[in-house]
Amino acid sequence: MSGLDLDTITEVTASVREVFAAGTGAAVLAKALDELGWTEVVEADPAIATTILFSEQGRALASSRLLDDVVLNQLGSVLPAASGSRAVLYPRTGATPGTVGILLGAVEDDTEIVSMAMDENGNASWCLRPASDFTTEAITGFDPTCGWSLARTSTAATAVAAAGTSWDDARAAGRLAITAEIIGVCASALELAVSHTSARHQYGRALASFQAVRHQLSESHAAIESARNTLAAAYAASPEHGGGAWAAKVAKVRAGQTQAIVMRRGIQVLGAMGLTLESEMHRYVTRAAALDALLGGHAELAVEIGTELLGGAAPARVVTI
Amino acid sequence: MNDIETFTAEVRAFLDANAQRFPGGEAHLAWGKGDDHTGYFSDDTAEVEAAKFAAARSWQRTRYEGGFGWITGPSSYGGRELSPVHDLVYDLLEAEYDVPDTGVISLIGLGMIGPTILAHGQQAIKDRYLPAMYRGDAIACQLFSEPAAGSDLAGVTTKAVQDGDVWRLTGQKVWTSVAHQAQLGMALCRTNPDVPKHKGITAFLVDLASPGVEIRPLRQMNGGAEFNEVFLTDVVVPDDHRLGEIDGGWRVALTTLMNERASVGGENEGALARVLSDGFLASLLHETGHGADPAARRRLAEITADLTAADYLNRQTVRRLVGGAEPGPEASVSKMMWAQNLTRVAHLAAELVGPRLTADTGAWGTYSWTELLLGSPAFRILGGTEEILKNILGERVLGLPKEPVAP
Amino acid sequence: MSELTTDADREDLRAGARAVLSAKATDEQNRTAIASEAGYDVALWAQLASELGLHSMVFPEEHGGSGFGFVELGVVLSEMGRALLPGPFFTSVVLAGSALVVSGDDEARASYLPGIADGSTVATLAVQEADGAWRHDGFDSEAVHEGGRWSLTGEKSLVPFGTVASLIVVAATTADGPSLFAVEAGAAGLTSEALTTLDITRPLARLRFSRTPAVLIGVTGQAPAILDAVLDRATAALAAEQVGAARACLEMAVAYAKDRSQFGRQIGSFQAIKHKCADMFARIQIAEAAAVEAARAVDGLEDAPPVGVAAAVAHSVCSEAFMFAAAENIQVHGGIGFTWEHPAHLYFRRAKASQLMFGGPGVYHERLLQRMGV
Repeated sequence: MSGLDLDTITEVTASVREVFAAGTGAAVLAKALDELGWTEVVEADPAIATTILFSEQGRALASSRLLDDVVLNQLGSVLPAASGSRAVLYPRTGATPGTVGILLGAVEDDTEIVSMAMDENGNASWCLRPASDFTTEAITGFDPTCGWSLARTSTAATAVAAAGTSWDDARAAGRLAITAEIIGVCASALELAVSHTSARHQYGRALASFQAVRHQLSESHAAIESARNTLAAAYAASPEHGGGAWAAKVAKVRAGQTQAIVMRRGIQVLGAMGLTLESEMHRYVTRAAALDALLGGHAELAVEIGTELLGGAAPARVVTI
Repeated sequence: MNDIETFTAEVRAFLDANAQRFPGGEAHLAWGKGDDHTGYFSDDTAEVEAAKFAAARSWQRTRYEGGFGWITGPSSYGGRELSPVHDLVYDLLEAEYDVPDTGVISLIGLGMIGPTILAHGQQAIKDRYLPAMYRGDAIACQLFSEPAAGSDLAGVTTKAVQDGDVWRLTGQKVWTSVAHQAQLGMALCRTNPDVPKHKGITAFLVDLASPGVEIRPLRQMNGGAEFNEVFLTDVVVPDDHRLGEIDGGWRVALTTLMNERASVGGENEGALARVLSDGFLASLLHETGHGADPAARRRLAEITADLTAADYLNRQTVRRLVGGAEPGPEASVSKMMWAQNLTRVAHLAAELVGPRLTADTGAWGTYSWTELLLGSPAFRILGGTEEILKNILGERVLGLPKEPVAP
Repeated sequence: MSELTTDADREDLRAGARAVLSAKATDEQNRTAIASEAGYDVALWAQLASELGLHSMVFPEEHGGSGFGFVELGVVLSEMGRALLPGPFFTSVVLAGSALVVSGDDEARASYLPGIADGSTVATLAVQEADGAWRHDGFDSEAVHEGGRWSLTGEKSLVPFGTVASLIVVAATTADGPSLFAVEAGAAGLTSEALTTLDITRPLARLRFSRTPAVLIGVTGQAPAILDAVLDRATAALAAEQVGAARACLEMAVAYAKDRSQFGRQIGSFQAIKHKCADMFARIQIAEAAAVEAARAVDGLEDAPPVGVAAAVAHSVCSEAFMFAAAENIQVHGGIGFTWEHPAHLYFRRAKASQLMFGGPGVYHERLLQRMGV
């Protein structure tokens, strides 16, 4: 059960929404959350706190390094104590982990970059390097507003700790947070589609009164709710916040599939308007796609799940009926 | 030798004399050859775009001088007075040659607006503009859609008010492709607000150099800007530039839309010809290391079957038209399937390419698929949304009842 | 080679077949026929063979045929599919008939084709065994040559019209490789057993052979090549039947959508229904194009695509279009479409059984890729 009652959740959600609406910047965000008493919210129910925070970040199409906190939080007992700020280097599928990766926002030169590296025997370990060891290049291809960058280094680093299961834990926590963010992006995109099709008239009636349109919207809604429930169940599936690598993987697959459904339908019901850069829709499309790719895209994870099942893994049920 | 065979020989001689034939069928489209563009829409720079338009106009002039500038048009305007089938035969033959893509001037201007001017324009206007258009000198665009009149075209609100022997036009048009390169626009305007909406529309030919015409680019989600918004502010149009009767514009617009080319053969020009050529997707499967991946193979097979069947439908349509049959509902079916199939191709390619789709690593045939992917949502919208096409098939072909009028 | 008939000829052929079938193969008549001893209307079978000459269309003239092609046969099959005619036409003429035609064995052709062509012989083709897979070699059934005669031992399954066929073409392993044999009904050591079937219009049987006398068709070791060619012809022909049946589903759905009112309007005026019908229509148009092109390829017309590719494309696209139309037809009908009395389920059953007849999606997709060299 949640340690927060419904009224509190509603109130906190509204406040966080205002925070994201008001502005950006890590410092601004941290201060505003602090004023909200965020620490207490997290203590009361870490799963709901994370879900609210990331859903709202997605809804606002904001970008930040909040995800780093979620991941680093799992590594508290593994990494040596931090002397200053830290950032996470996220792996890019296909690239050698540790030397090339994605940073989710700007870092200072003395920020410690936490990365995961794999030795020739497949043993994972954590490395720390100053940001100044990396060269970065803004990722502009798909989602130019995400604020992410591609970081590379040729500097060798010494492993500071064996990753063990902490990599699974950290990745699972990260995936659940990203799932929440994707859901937020989708919910906002659906709202845009609903308001557009309710306001726009063709043939003397609101577009949303045509079944071809309203049925697409209801399919999007059903997909979002299903993703939302899977996420809640994934948090509930494990006693500890962020645990349950399997559940997190399932939740992220569902969120990835959901964004594919919602975005495709969203663009279609906006008609030609959805194709222009003047409509906000393209921003949701590209952000959702970028988030889907982070820490494993849904197609890739679905293959992983299938392979594990075929390999004899007992399917931990995310939802028990 | 029948008439089509004679014509074929004539076209072949013209093309051989004026252009290079691609060697070896589709070899120039193979994996790794030439550029790796996959897009239907361009995101060219202004210079590149200008060069393409210049090349298109110059090739149109060559065609015109060779007697193929307006195959179906009257001889008084340089046409040949032949059938649409001859036109189709010409296109199919020309696809074997390395010639500039003239789609930007021919699809709308020459294919749709030219025949409309011919059918509804006044004599002086026909004499003045038609030869110029088919010689490649003047480009025409449509000023049809408006912010509030998309699928429901009869809802146009751009106003035209008569003032002596001129009309004054005020309003906003959107989704006008090539307007920024065009000299002429065919505008649908509201001339009578007091009658049922499609009875109060008049069509005009507008000189886009007139004072009060402002053209702004509209950026699409793929980053390109082939479309424009056109703002008309008290633009003066002489009455002899009116097409058809006053308040008879709906009929004129139908002529234009009926001339929207049956989607046979002509659509898969340029980059799409490569994407859809034999074996290209199979190469992608192998090049991305999915050659033995059963799930990927199955999806490729499904798409290949549907693409091939759609191609068979096009071939049969051509055969039927050549045999003298009337065009049927094939065009709507082809358009719908084309859009759905290309969308599936885009998503399959994205999945095969994987994360290299999200940033340009410079590897041939990887990031370039973003062009097709980002263009794909438009396939099911432009030229009649999928929903409208289904209404047409449901109502006009299957005879299902129309949606009741809104209360 | 160019086409043997014009569009107008084929429309006449279609109208003729439709006239007979709409009088003699209504839903009610079909159900009566299915419940009968033979499982089909024997009188109608004879009429189609003798009066309309449908059975002999694609056989060579020297063996009692009229030398038409699959383009023409496709018109007939599409009408049979539309009526969901129960009967062994596809089995006898297309499956067994093609095996004999492509075998190149003049003696076997002279012995058996005239009977198939005039309808007096019902022939079938027994390829599948216990696992149900359609394969061209590796049969467990075995034939041995002793004392100048062949005898066959083994079990064949999913044999269409296996209990009523008078001639069974059987694929079996020999010392010289997989080969085809002719076995006559009533031969020693042959027993048959009818199976309960998904598609009640096309009965299937299990046949057991125990030292059953058999006649070799062609030469030994030839079965894989013959069956490859049979599969192309069979899938091209089946595609035509599937298109006809799919069109019947669409016609049913459209008629119902115009007839039925809910919420004060004809349900066909709702986009959810209208667009479903439009989707069915579009997919059927594409499927028909694929079926026609496959038939043209079998006939070797000069501008036709390679037969292997065209037949594989048609089998995939037509199987899926029919399955789609059969399922959507039930959805358009709502509850009434789910009743036993309504014909919708018979089409649904036929759609799935046809789709799986030669292995199903996993198999036909891979076959298409292989034929395209992927």
